[in-house]
Amino acid sequence: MDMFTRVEPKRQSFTVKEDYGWEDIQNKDGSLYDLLSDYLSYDFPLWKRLEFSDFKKYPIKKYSGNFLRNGNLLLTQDAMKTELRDFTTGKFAGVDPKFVMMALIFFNSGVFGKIDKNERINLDYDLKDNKVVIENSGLILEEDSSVIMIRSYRGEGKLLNSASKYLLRAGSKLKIFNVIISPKTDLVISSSLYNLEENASLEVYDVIFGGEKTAIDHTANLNGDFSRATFKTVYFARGKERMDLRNSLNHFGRSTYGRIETNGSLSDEGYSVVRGNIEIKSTAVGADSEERSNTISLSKKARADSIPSLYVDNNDVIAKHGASIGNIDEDKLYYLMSRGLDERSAIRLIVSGIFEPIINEIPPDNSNLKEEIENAISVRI
Amino acid sequence: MELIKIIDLHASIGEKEVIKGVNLTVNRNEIHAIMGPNGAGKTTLINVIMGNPKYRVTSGEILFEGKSILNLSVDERARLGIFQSFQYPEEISGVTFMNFLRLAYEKMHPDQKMSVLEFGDMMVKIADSLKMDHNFLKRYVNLGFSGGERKKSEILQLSALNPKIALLDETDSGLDIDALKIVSEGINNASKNGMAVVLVTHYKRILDYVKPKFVHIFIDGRIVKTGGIELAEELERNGYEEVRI
Amino acid sequence: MTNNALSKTEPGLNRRIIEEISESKNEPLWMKDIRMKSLEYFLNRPNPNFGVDISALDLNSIVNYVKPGAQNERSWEDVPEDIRENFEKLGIPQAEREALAGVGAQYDSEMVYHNMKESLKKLGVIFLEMGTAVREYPDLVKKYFMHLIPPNDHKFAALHGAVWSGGTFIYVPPNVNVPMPIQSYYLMGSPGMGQFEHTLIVVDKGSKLEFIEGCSGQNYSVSNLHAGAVEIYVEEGATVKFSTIENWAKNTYNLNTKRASVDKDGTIIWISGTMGSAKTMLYPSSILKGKGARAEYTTITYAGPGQHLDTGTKVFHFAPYTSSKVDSRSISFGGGYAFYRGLVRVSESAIHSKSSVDCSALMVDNVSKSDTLPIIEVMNNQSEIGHEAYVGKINEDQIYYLMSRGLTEDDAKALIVRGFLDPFIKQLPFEYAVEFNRIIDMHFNSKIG
Repeated sequence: MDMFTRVEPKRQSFTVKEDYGWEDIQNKDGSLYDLLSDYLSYDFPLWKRLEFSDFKKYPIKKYSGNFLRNGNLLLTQDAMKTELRDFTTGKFAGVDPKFVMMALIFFNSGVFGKIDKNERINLDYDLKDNKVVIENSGLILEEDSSVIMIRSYRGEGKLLNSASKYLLRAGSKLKIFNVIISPKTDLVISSSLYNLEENASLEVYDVIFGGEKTAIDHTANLNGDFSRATFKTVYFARGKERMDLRNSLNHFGRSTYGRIETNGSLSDEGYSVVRGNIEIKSTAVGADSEERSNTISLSKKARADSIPSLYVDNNDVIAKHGASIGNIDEDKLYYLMSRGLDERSAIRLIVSGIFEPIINEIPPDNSNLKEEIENAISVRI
Repeated sequence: MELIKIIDLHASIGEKEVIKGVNLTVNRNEIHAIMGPNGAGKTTLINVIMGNPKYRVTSGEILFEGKSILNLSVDERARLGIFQSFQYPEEISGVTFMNFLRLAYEKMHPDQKMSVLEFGDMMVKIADSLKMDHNFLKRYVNLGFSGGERKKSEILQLSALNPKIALLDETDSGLDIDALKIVSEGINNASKNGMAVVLVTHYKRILDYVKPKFVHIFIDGRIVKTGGIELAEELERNGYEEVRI
Repeated sequence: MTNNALSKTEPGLNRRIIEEISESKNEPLWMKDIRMKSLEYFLNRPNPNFGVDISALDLNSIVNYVKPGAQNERSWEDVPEDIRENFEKLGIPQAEREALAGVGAQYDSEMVYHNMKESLKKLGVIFLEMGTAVREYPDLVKKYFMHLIPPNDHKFAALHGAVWSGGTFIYVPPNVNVPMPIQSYYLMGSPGMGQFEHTLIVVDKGSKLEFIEGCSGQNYSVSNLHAGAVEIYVEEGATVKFSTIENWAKNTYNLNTKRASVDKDGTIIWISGTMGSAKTMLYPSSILKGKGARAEYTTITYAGPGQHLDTGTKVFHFAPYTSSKVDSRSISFGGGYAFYRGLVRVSESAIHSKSSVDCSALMVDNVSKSDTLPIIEVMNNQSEIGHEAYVGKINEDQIYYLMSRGLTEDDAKALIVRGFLDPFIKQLPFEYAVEFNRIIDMHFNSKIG
């Protein structure tokens, strides 16, 4: 069989005057030495759409306060002293290898754990007091275990860089909420990798009110037969905020199922790039995968890019995607205003409607977080 | 003359047995009605006779004009003169009815050479008899058809292709009384030249217009009782529960 | 031009070869300058960083100019028989008599036939071989030539600028409705050559033109290269329908560039079929620069054994109330690889614009590949932009339904594929549609006819 090569643009990069080094490592450990030399051999990625071409080295400090609210887990520096050590330093592509490695080496926060039953995990990261939060986290879900994890990153800081990875063994279930409300933070980066064995099930809900520049990547490898992954992201960008949100599904197993749904709204000169990648390998017979995105742009100067891709090597599949970008629906607005709402309230109501389905999914004992999301919408419109 | 003879037929979908020992003989010219509750396997029986690859015959025999057809593919059975009408016929975009039917007609009757015009005339006549708009022939196969249009389109195909036996699946469901009369007339006309009919139905209503010689009660994958039209009447009065024994 | 006759250049590219081509064509200095500048760009540009792998294409072994053993004639009788036969087989002279307003026919690097009906000449329509147009209408050509596709756009636009030869020039004056299509046909007959025809179409205010482009070639074991350029200027209120069937031989690299600029209330309609070649990169682009300008696409890509076809559409909305509609379909079978690459860019000023893009891909078997990458960039909030895509196989229930009416499985598949491609096929001139159906039948072992 003739195999064809797909030619793709090479990674572009830029050099910085000052990068982090050995002295910036919070939890010095010999095993990080090789990783560090690998890290230093990489330049920073140049991102055209985000206009990311400069990296400011903010000092990394010991995390002050307590981010682990709930859950039977080890802090990353402690996990490194256990059998989880190799897992804590495991590299992956994420948003970009440079940032993933940065998190693995320079982390000042994060948790690791092996879970074999049902577990609730709450992680609250405070950007306001810490300014720089670098997280390295990871979970192994043993067979048939089930985890609900609620993770938030809140406050005005300088840099957030998170890398996390998840191994979902056969039949395990992971439901994860990531809420980022980090206005005026220079750079917000989050990379997550999920490896799913057979019959494992993953649901990821992202609520993103980003920093000045935000880049998020979730990648799920559906390795096991009948494994399932759903990504639901909602976002809002205002001012000159730029965000690049990528969700990827790689189907390897038979009868795997994937959904990507990204909805958001833009005001001022907000700019969003919504990427959805679906790759269905020839082994993934019977795969069913679909991607949708919808952007409501409230401002003339906002910009919305949609970059969905489908790569299909197998014909026994269902693969679809759809995208729409437009203004707020005039008919809906009219209807609400005919019931007495002023325009602003009506718009706020419609935009809240984008967030509502995800807020609803958040377990009820997180009323503070829900309120904060609702406030974040309010102040933005 | 024996047209189709089904002997102790068993068939499965996946591991599940759905046809559990059916015996049925249909002669030329005969109209048979198969009645039974939802999920009894009536539609499955038609699919198995037609050779739908979703179902596997595990034992038994189907003879058509004395020869086994079990090893024949669906199109080969169609060309022998077996016609299946569908409850939910497929929509096929980009293919007009006219082109599709002409092609099917050529396959079924390779020795009859008809020009495009002659074939068109024939189709128009059939469409008229079914009170169908001629534009229908220019439309894509079943695309955007209403329920009634779909039934008529199936009967139009039946009339055009002129098979030896028609297996009709719930052809009456969802039709108003006028449409039902037209469709029944279509079936009756087609059967005048010797065509046999196996009519699967849930309700007796259509039997007022298409008169069967035999009525079979079909429950849980087999024929449990056979009789004349009076059986349908009994069924109407007492329901399937009574007939079960 | 006979005194400078050049029959064929040596393989590869250098200043001397370009000079030879230019001199043999008696070109004005400005055109020679374009060629020389293009050569520089070409030598300095890297290969494209996306699309198909062209690392196996040895540009130094490609013969960039091959003069056919014929002059540019106005009567088919004067075209040498061996060349004429090729066009007869394609049904071109017959189609010309019956349904075309004008025909051009290119063999290798030069046009061998070019003719237009007298009635159109009287209306002021110009239809010439491109090189002749450069000499006879230098001012008109200079105003448009390689402005839409600048030579430094990409490596193969630069190559084209350096070695272009043949092709068609059309000018339609204001308010003329050209009643029948004009067609040009391009044939590559020599092994290891490159064909670089240039098509320049200018349709002035309120006029209408339908142009048909056909391309094919003979199959050789060595690689051939096609890097043509099509530039279309649709002026205010004008409409151009541009139909193409690219059926290059399976040894051909087809790295082609097509672009249209559309002024106020103008319309460009692209009907584009890519079925031949070993590897293709082709993305017809529409630059909607006038208020109310429109672009419509109906495209198909048909990738069979040994083919990697990377095709797509690009629409740039630069003015208010512009609209675009894309219906793009692909078939991949027998290990073929179809890639749809799309771009819709809506600028800040293109308020009240609309765009809808529909892509669907049918994968006939389990060894083929189908990828879709449609990029949307929207820079204002008063536009409605949508995109839908679907990848899947032939529906088994449809096959069963057709087989229950007596069709063989092969016939059923061929009929479904035809139906899937119908929106494209029904836009084609009759002889192309028949040919296309014949090819589908052949690939699916069907005898539907």
